[in-house]
Amino acid sequence: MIDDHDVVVRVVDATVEIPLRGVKASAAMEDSRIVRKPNGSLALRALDKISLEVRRGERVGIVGGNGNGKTTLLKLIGGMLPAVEGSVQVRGSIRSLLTIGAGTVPALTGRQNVVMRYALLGIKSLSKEEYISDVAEFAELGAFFDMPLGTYSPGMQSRLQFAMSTVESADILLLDEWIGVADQSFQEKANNRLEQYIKKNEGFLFASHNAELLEKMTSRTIKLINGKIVSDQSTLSGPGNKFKSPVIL
Amino acid sequence: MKGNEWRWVERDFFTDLRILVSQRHLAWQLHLADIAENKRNSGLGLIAPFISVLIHVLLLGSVMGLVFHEPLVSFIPFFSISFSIWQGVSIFISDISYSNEKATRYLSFPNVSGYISNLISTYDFVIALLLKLFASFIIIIFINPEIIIGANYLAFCSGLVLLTFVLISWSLPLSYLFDRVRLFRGFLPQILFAVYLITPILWAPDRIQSHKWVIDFNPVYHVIEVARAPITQGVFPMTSSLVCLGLIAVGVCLSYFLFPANRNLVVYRWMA
Repeated sequence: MIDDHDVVVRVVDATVEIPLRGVKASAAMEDSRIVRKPNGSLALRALDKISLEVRRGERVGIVGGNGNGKTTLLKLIGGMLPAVEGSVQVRGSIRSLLTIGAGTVPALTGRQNVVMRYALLGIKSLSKEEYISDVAEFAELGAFFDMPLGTYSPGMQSRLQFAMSTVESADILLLDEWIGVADQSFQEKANNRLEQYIKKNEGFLFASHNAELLEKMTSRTIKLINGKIVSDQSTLSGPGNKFKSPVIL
Repeated sequence: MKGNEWRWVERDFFTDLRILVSQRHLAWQLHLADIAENKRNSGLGLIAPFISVLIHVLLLGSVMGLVFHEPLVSFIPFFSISFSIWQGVSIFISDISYSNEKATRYLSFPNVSGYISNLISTYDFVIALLLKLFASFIIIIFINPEIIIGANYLAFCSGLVLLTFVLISWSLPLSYLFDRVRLFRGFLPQILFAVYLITPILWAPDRIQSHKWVIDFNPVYHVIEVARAPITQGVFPMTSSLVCLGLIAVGVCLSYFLFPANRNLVVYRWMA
């Protein structure tokens, strides 16, 4: 169990392996992350004995090249991927904005998707009508709110996703880089809402390649290479910073 | 939820079932979203199953009754109930064959039961079946109202419950089968059509008295008979009820053993 009251996420020696069905055995020779399991099957070790703690109010940026485990780490914490070794403990509620179309139905209108999301999130602090009106106001989709999601641009979808996931505050927010597809004014608005989250002592993990966005939105940066954390340091100029000096692993 | 129970990817079978029961209202909301989606796709929504039975029974039932030289006053009621149940069951199986794909829609909500898409399909089945049966009853009232008067409604309700539990208990093994061997999905219409032909749906069971074992050892016959016999014969089908209870027990056991493997298919898709 998590005993330090300030820690909202604790990952201890967690390993994530993705099974590789139908991949030739010779592939194991080409990448050290491809491992052979005791039953002879192959698996990609996407995260290798990761240990991490996130405290209340921390805004953690996750950087690393493509395929180095940024999204996998967010999915592990968000309960979308299991750890084959080690453990993941999360204190409090969690919201994940990892995939632009997650939990939405393209044939339904924005409003119908919002109603569905209200049920999926099991929101108790707001009535359905309050939730819908808050999302509509924040996403600013105009007439598109009552049009099928399939007609939305990626930027509009990201507006709706962000609004639906952040109306009710959660203890931890996980965000992948797709928010970058929204326009500048919405990103500022989203950042302001995130600031409100931080004021409520909540944790925030954000994976991105965008250095400027990371600097603006996070106070600590973790770098992943080949599924391992190679550096973990505070960003002194970032907001909500709680660290006094950088920590290099 | 206690400890890490909110993480579906790390739950055991019985914990997930317990959470599914607590999320039955959520499943209903998602079922309503499904109806809205279907209405947008087909333009008919809930009217579709009702119209489908009316057209099939009146056209196909009349033609087949004449072909088999069956008296229409008894054949049409038999066929309308049989067809309604069979159509519901076959649509459920088609739906379940893509259940794992639907489950991935809810992966971003790890507190939601991994079984939720199966429960949504079950809700779809029950609502569509009731509408189909309603259409059948309207037809029977015009053709032979005595059948409606003489039906055993208590046994009918018990049959519908057993039928529904058979389907939900087999939903996970079927999801696993059709996801593990996706080739079967391409043959599903042919498989269902073959089952339709060898099961007494389009023909009365007493037509093959000399080969009665074909019926007795056909589990689909008992699944249909458990809800059909109380209407068409006004009896409680003891044998079919026992077969259904056995099927439920086997389905639950299979679901228990396949739960981890099926979860891997949902999480890792074709990589698993």
